[in-house]
Amino acid sequence: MSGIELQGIDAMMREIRQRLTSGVDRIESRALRLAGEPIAEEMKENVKRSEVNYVRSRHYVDDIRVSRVVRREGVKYVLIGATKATSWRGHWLEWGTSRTAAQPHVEPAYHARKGQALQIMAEEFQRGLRR
Amino acid sequence: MITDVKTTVRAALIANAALIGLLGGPRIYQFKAPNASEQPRIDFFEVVNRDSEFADNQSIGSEIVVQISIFSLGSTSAIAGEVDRTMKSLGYFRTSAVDQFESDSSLFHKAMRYRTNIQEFYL
Repeated sequence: MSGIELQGIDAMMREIRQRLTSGVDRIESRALRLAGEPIAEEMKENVKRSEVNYVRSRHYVDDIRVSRVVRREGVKYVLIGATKATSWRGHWLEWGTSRTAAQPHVEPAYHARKGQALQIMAEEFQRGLRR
Repeated sequence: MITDVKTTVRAALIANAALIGLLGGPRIYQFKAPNASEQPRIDFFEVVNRDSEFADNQSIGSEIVVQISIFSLGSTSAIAGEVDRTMKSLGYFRTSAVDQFESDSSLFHKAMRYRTNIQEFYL
């Protein structure tokens, strides 16, 4: 999957881990996945659907999603974008070619919705702390 | 809203004599060149132009992202260097750059994105 990487906020997570003894993993994962959704939706809105009728594949826009939560070297994150099946098409759309104009959708979506994503994460963590 | 981004960028690129020399003329087009096989050339467009700073509930700044694409059958490095110099002289900084190769046309494509924040004051 290619696209945007959303990481948790280290300082906030340290504080939350100190206050919560159990369930922190679940809250963290849920917050990351929920925070990725508005960015994925914005990406979809910024891409035109082609008129190709895919039989064995699918439209790139239908393939944009938030991944499951991945943990690497102690850091949890989600990837937002298309799967390997169609991400190569997204690359050409994002940057354009000599014959076709670009349809930037990854970078603009991130900048348009990053504030909302952080807000969702903060609300999820607050909800978790109140429980 | 800043509405003269494309005019300013194109004028600055055309004023760079070294760049025009490398391109073999003012082959700088907004969004898409009329002839897709013309090379070397530059296509450019605004990726983002949005309100970025606020005071008294009013926008006082614009965040702008411009993509500059270089298409060439040969190396894009010298052209990219001149583009970079020009964009930085305008107050932009480079946020990303990718190299692509189009196998059907054998064109190398170097795409670079530049960002700036321009403050607008309304008195």
